[in-house]
Amino acid sequence: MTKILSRLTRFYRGNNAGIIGSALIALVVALCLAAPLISPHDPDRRVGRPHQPPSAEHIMGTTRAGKDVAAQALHGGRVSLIVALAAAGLTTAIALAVGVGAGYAGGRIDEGLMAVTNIMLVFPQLPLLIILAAFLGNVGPFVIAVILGLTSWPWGARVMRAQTLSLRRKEFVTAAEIMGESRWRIIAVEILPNLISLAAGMFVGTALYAIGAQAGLEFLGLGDPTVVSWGTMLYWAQSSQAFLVGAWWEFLVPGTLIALVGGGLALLNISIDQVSNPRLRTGPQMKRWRRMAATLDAKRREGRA
Amino acid sequence: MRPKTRPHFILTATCAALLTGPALAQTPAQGGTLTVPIIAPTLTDDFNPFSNAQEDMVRGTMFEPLWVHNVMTREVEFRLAEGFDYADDLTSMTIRLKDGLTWSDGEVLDAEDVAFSLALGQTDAALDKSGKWSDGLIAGVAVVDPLTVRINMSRPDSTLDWYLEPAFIVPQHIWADVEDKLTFRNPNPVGSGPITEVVSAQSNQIEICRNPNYYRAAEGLPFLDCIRFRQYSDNSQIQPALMAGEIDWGANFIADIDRTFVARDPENHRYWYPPNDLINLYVNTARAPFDNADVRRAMSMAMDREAIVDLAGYGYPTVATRATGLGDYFEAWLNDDLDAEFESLLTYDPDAANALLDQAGYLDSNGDGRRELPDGTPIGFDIHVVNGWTDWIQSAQIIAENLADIGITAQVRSVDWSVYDAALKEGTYDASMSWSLAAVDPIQTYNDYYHPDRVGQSWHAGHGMASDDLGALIDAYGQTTDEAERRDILDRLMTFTGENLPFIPLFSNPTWYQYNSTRIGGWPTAEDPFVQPVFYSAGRKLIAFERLYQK
Repeated sequence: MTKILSRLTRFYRGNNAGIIGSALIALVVALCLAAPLISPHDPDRRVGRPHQPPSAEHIMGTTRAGKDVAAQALHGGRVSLIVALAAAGLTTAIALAVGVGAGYAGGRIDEGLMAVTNIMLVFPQLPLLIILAAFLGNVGPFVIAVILGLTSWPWGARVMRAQTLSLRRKEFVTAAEIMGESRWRIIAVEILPNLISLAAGMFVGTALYAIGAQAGLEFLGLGDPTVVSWGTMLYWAQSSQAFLVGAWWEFLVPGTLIALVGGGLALLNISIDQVSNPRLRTGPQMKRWRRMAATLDAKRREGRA
Repeated sequence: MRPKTRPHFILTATCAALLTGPALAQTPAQGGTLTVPIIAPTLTDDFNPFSNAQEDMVRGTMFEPLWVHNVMTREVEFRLAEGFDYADDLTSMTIRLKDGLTWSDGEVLDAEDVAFSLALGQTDAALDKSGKWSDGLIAGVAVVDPLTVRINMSRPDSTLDWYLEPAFIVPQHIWADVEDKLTFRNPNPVGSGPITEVVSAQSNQIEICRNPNYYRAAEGLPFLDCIRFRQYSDNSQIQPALMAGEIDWGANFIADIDRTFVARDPENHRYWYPPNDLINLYVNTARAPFDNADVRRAMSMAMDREAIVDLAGYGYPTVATRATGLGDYFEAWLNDDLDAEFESLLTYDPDAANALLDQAGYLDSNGDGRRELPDGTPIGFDIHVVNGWTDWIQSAQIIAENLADIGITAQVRSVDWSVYDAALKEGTYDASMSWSLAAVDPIQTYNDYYHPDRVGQSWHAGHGMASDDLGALIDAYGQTTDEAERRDILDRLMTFTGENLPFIPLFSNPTWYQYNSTRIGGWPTAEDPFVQPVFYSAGRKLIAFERLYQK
């Protein structure tokens, strides 16, 4: 426990991007989780006149259908966030399985898996999503999560494979092999722990993509418009011409929430990248690095003197 | 309110005393251009009335029908024809043409052209715009004399005239030599309508102007010189164009029209949305709980139609107030006494609905807020709507809320068109929102609801109440010209619908019609409703167009 805590403190110390990103996400997630407690109204019921501007009764106004925007944003956020997390989890799991499998097994298995990966990679993704969504008819959040998860893994799989290939040649892996450890143990104990920061970065990156892709699909009318999520809120705002009639709150609220979560995930992603690849470090990180280098130099000189 | 024409003694365009109804006391000057939108990816120089490629540009403007059924006034407005008669045994129809008709190239338009055009459907179903060759009614077309055509029928029928409006009359001297009449582009069109001369054809705009040999030219018609058809990709482009005054006549959905369009120029930016087809919630009477008429009545009474129209429809549709299966579109045919009898069924009254369900034995025995069937299973069903039809989805959501208030759980399912289409036609739905047929005569609507031949064919006959008896009643209507007998048949069908409520009327769709009177006058309005202002109906568009003039 303390180990995890100390790791966390190490991750966040001087890491402003990580702190801001995590705070943003934590704020939105907390609000959405607390939706049943803090939501002022039922998101699915008419509670006011259409397109009422923000007021004490409806702090973020009402939609064209007379539903409370704040309630919809909070409840809809749960759906959007779950889809993003599920899609990211599925993507990361597939990418790890395919990438590590191909990289470690090598040979025929590697060729086969990479052939599939490359084919998946060259599919234009958005058109593929649109066709899949149209083909499946009415696609609820669950189906969207599965579609996104099943189509977003190829890049990650290639990165995982490359990293696995380089780890494979490392001495500790060779040592484990010579000692006769089983393949599964080598993968689980020697290789996977070294891929965690990469996988975490990938998870965050995919969640970021999934939030946007889900909103995009739903905005285009390919989702289930009867389910409340940030994407369907934008869809309804568009279909009721909220922009033309000046009902800015109807699209601004879900839009801002998507932007906040997206921004938070992007910041977190940057900071994870910096951890897994010190060469990307900038700003305060670099200052700390220089300071450490300076102390080290001073110690060395002292030692010699 | 048909325009009465008088002989012209003075042809000074500005002061000729031509009486064209109460809206106009003087003949307007000729000139001016009407701009209308066409939704298409691109426009081409294709002026074929049969191919559906650019039908809105040519039908009713370049090619005239024989006559137009004006549902709003319940009159037949004769165009190329002067009149028609059914034989006493109803097995033939004689069409008399107006004298002195010409094509735009100066050739005479006579019975040969009409017989040629009507006979096109005999050999090619795609050219059978009346649909009456395909169903075997028309047996043959014969020229009696240069101004008379006779259509022979295979069985007695008194309704053929309803179906001949879309059978457009084309010049035999051009079309007889055309090999493939469906793909022929007809780039140099010859027609009989008010505008025939294509002056410019670009991919985003086509302008068609006055027919130099128009048969009503002596009356000063048409007042306008040209129609400019502008290409737009979808509604979202038309809304700003209409707001900016680029379009004179819109036939599109405009969001919050009072604020976005009318408010910019209340004097000239106007709209009028008279009722069109009636929208119903169809329920499957073969399944529980819809097999009990009391449940259907309670559901109907639980619906807040005002809210549906206001919130889902922006207030544009007309609330349904009649349980008899006909909307306000058929106002000229309705029977107010019968409607009054069933009025309570369409009045929002959740308390009465609850009481009716209690009385019928659909109780909420475990107190979870959901009523159960007498056998104990909770009532729950899906309402089908088509994905993307946003106003209907919202309507269905309000219906689901209303039904929840009386303890009935309904789930809105927005499904793909193919699912919706198949479920309605095969009768495999629980509940589904759909339109009804609004054509020339209410019997066509009832035919679509109840005729056993329509089960499996139509979207609206799968509710489980179509029967041979009703089919025979409907058929009898088409075999008489006696008004009293027809009235009686309609009354019986209205009574049947009101008593059984096989579907729940919600609202009448609006006829989308916006106009800008800055440049053009003579528009049909709520005060002067001389025709239903449907841009997409060739005949009604033609009647409206002939009244328009440049201000």
